[in-house]
Amino acid sequence: MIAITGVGAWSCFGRGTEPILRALAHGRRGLGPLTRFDTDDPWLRTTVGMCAPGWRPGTGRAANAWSHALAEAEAAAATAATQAGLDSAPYSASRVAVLGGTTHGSGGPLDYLRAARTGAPDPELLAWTAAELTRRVARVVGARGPSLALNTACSSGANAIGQAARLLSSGAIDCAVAGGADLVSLVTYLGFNSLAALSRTGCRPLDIDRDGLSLGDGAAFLVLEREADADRRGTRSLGYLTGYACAGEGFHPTAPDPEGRGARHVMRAALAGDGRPSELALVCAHGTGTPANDAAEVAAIGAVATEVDAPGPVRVFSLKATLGHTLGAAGALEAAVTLTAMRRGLVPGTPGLERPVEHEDRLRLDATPTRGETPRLALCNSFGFGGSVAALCLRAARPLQED
Amino acid sequence: MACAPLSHHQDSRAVREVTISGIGAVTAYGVGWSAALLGLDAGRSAFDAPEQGRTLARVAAADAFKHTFPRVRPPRPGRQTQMLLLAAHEALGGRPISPPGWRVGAMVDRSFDAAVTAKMLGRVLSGGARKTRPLLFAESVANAPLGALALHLGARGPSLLTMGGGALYLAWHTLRAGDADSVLVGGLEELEAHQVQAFEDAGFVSDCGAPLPYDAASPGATLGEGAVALRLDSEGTGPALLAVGHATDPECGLRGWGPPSPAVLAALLADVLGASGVRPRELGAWIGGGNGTPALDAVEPAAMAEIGEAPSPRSLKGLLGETLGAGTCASVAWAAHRAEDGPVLVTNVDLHGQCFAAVVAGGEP
Repeated sequence: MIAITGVGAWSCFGRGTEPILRALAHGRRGLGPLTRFDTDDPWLRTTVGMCAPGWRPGTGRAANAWSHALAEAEAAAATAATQAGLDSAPYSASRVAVLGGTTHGSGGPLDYLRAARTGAPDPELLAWTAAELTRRVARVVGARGPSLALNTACSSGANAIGQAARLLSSGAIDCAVAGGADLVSLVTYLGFNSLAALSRTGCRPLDIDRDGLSLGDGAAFLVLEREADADRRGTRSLGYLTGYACAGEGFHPTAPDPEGRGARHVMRAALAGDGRPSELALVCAHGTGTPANDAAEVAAIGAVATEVDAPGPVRVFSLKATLGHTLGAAGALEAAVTLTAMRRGLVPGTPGLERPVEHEDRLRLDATPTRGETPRLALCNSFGFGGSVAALCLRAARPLQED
Repeated sequence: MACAPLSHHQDSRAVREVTISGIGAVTAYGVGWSAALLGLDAGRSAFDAPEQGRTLARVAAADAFKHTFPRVRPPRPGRQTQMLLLAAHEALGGRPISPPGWRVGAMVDRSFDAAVTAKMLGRVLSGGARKTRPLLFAESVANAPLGALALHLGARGPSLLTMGGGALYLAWHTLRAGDADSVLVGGLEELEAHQVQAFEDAGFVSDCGAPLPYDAASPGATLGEGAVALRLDSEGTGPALLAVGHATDPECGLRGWGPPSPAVLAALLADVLGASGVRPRELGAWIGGGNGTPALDAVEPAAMAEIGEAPSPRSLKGLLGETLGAGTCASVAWAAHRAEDGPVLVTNVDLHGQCFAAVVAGGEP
């Protein structure tokens, strides 16, 4: 198995997983006014999002939004590396990989293009592509192995983690720091608005009356090692990544397959990797809150839960109700939070959920969290534009006592 | 289909050989890998005549797309996606995967996703938010061309988009682990005016003639665009990809804009050649990533000098231009056609400190 030995995160609640867990435990959401750009036009569907505190535009050349997200990604990776004790790990730097997912958050070129419209842009901004994310994280954690910036839209973070696990399994590397980072940008805000995909007042994933997604800032990085190596060096595993699959479902450039064929395929394959799929108890759904995604996804989850004969109840929740849709970071952030919540015996709810979408009897969709449960096996789904679908299968380590 | 479990499987019986069984390309030479081969074999430059003092290697492929994909009705995918689809279609021998399959993956390399985003932002910045076009947004997502490989060609297996040769690296491991039977690997770049200007402002490109890779007197790089696709098979026939490696030098530049140190590439070369069972002097050829930028071009020879004596590197970029995301796939495609005469080393380094190396050996694809 692949052990997860370190986790670091950044979200609309600031740095770390602890503020997120507190918010989840109390059903709080990170929703607030969008102040990053002008939203004063009735054509724009919403004036709210789930942006992180601590950054405002217009404070100098290097202080663009992507620069801030990169710094937070570095901090998240450093936290994960410290938790894993990487500085004393016996791994050669050339055998440590960094894999990072992002989407339009590779904002250097975007900032360059904007600046080019109004004056003399800084050519170095063009260097701040997605590869700058992995380079910076590699510098922070001292990695010199493969440095792979993945962009499969909103499944990028999940694929970064999954591919890291595949490289570990093959013996190509000994350790990986994998995750993703993204932020609410003008391009994503206007783009999702033009697709009528933004919720007007705040997303309500998995609800019959959902009207779209809410964008959010986020970053998360995880340290992954082979279980035997982690055990050998005496590092505590926070949990295990036991299965992963990704695919291109080939249905439509932006819309998900209403039959959920790709979603079912990757969930099945990820669970098969675990070997004990009937223990499935938890699903962190992609759950964007868009009309097209949620019904198809919940139907696919129900079908897979039935196929693997999970006794139920299989708890299905969407962290996007709390954290917003963090795009390229979502898969990593949601895996980090799901894993940490499992360790705490916390099953997150989906705040704002009043009337759940139609679902199989063995699934349970709640607005409020539950404490004291110890689910052993979870799926994290991540789907994206271009028909990209991915699923991670997480197995819990020994649960911690409640703080 | 279930992927192999996430356990450690270095058992050699579980590891499969990876072969290159198809190549397709859309380059400044024209549509088709044969057009590129003709130009490269003849040593003919693919560059346009200079316009306003600027030399580029541009692609014209719109008619070919309509002819090859007559069922794809307007609104047709963007130019970048059209180039990739044409190249991938050729790599598949002109036959989309039928029925579409989860065991055929698609992995794509590109370095910038600026072209469509620039169009979208340009409309917004000049006309306001309401000028946002949903189709442009959908196409501006970097993996839109990747999704098209599943949608139009049936490659529905493992699907990834990355940079710096990462697509070849991940595809090779995917096939070796048995997670797919075939993977379409593509390299792609579409030039965009602001991006070209930025490279010029940064002093990266030549303003006085063609690039001279690995020549200290080179005036700089010339930018090109295009798409190159490779069909990689597990246990297929054709030249073998013996080993593929990837590394990074995170200290390459204060703000991420500089070449890697030769030492990082040297360590990667030692690993990749060692895994291939090939000593540097046994190489039949070495296709490097030299693009005529002296600082970048110095890295590969210096790295090789640390590990042994090898043939001098040659680069396609003196003729094809610096095609960025498409460059590594183009080099591997070229290596596949030169591998009968001995194993060919392919390397690339970029200004993000990324290093790529692969060894290709065997017969014609």
